[in-house]
Amino acid sequence: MKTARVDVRYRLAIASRTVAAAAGGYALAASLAAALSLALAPGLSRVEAVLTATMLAWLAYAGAVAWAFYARTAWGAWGGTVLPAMALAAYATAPQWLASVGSAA
Amino acid sequence: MATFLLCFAAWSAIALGMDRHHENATGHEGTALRLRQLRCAGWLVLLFSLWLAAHPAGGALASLGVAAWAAALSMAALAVTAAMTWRPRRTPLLAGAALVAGLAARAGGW
Amino acid sequence: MTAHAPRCPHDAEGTASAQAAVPMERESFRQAMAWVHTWAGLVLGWLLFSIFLTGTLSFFRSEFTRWMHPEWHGLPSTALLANGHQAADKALAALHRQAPGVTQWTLRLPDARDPTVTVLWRDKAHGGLETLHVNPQTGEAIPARETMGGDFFYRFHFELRTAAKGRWALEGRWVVGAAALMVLVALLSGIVTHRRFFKDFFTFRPGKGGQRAWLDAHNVSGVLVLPFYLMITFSGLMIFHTLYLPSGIATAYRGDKGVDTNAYLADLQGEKPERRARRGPSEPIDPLAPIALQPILQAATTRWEGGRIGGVQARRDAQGRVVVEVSRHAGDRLQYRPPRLLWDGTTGQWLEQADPASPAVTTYGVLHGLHMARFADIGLRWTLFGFGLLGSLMIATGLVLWSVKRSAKSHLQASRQGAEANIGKAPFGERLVAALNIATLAGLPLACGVYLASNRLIPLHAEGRADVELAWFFGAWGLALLWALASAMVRPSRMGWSVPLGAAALVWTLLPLINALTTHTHLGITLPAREWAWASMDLAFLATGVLLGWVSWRLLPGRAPRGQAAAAKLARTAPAAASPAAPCVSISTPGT
Repeated sequence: MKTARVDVRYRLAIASRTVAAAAGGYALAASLAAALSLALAPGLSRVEAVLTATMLAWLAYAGAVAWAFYARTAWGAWGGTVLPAMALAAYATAPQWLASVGSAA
Repeated sequence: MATFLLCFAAWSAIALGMDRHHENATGHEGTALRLRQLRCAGWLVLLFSLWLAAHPAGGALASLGVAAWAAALSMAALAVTAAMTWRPRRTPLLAGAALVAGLAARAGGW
Repeated sequence: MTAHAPRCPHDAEGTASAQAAVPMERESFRQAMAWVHTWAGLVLGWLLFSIFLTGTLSFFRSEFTRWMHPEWHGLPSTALLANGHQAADKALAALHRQAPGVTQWTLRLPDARDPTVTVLWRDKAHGGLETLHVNPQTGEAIPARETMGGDFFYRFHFELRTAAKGRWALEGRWVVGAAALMVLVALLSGIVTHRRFFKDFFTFRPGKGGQRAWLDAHNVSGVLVLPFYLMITFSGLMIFHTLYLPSGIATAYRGDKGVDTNAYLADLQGEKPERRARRGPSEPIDPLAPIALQPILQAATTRWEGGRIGGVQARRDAQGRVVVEVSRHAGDRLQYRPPRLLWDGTTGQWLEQADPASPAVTTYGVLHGLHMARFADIGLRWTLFGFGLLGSLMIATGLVLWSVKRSAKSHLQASRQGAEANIGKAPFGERLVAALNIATLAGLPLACGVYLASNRLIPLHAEGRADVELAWFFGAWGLALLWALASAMVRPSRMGWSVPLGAAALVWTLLPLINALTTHTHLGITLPAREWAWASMDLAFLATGVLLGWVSWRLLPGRAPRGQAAAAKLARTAPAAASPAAPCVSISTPGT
């Protein structure tokens, strides 16, 4: 018997985790940078807030990649990256849709 | 140069404070106390070399000195690895020489 | 789609179907990160090696550029130049003669690494930025061969440039960014995985041969220089953060008219937004009148209490006012960019200093400066170069280690399966990795040597000469790829490594000779004259050739199998030479 072929389910799971790491991780990093910039902006100058947030966001990206391959399941990999990303993105874009709601009212 | 020599001496002490390297260098096992003394001495010299680097002679910028120290740190670690790989028995002597030379270099303004 | 992360990556293929049926114990974080480390390193490993090696060469970008312009030999060194400021006046006068309608210009004054005045300028006729190197004494352009010089290594390194006027810069930067992120992931996962971080700190056992020696080399080159790698990678990601991760800017700088990028960049540089250059294509920009630079440069030197001047620029700001900006030499501090002083170009009135000082911006500036290494003197520059080579070696050993492990494992399995197994032909994936290893790890050094040689061999007035040099570079690399595919995939041969490495050794060793036959800047002239700026290059090329030759010779098939030679480089004959004690190995301690 030749070296057993890796079954399709395994390959699919790895592929899923990889996409979760790359795309989900980017979503998490980008949304964190946006949310943290917004949160810090009142206290620090704008450029300080953006740089601090962006530098931390890279570390978050690395963390997301680690999570994507440590999570017990591939679904968990997605959940751990995309769900926080959506929450952070909601926070970061809140001013915009609040403003549009306010102007519509 | 002084920074590199002091770091070399310091890393050597730390290396010699490890079981495996101590045996390779001296031929016998070191006592737990001895090993710990060597490691402590090594870390102290390392911190001292950082302090010296942050107070460079001749009014140069401290930040440039610290950057040079960080580079010397890695270089010296590599040099000690080379010494422990190919000349383990000579390493204690080299370490002592480096310490003296490093202090002399600093005094001489290098 | 819910399969568990494999307990042991190498066993996964054989037992995945069994594992899917039986619920597995969760593997540890360390094991998971070991898997991540292997694959993050492997998938883009060849790209990472290329980026790292060309980046390492870029530490000596100015030196390569100078060596590739032998016509610059004989220019006065800055020590002999009575007044560097006069060079600026001469260059500006010559520029106005040549391009009366110039709308923006930048002059970089000569220093120890670059003896010319570099002139960058724009005018109505030339939409883009033109570059010219001029003689510091006369201001006239130096008639020199058209070449990218060391800038090719530099631009390939961060945007995968393939032509003198590349059009895919943006795409190239994205790819490099993805690679940089993989390096960060590989470094951090490598740290988590390396179980005996401190115990193995100084451990290198070349005598043990096989995987142990390669693993030791990978660990030592990885751990001891870790501060440098982390710094280089993280700073690389931050340098292009406006491209890679602009969401923070888009959020904090959002105004009524969209995102105010100009304001962000101004804040980043510590300047006023309205001082920045007006660059709208629809906005007409009036040409600049000649400006008397002496008083301004003198005032700058006084303000900086004798600090060196790096360059001077003139432009029209957002209100159309002429602004002259004098930059300090970037080598005077860690933080990049250097401080700049601004004057009104028409009235000579002092405006302000541009130099950010807040914590996060300074941190970003220091990261940027550490990456660019402008602050490094010659000793530190060689040290950083050495770290870069070690980083390239770390990537290389990682790639080879993967190959060695896989090849050993498949040999073990093949020998277990008995005579029916085809020992000679390893699986397609393994052979492909082996081929790419040779093509990149041996091919790139060969291509770099050929690029340098082409600078001397291509006729001086050839059409599109700079691109012809690049064609030689990529052609050589392509040939190495063809050879690698042939020797690793089609007809597996143990000469696979020795031939391209030997060819590279030959090219690099011959460079000083080619130099002597084609120019007047060879060792025969530069050594007696103690012109170390020129001689050191030829000597370094010679040393590189000798080193490559030694490696090539060590890897010849006839050599004794003891040590790295046979076991490491894709041994296909003796499985026993390379088989590890246990089939399932982790990154840090196989078989322990």
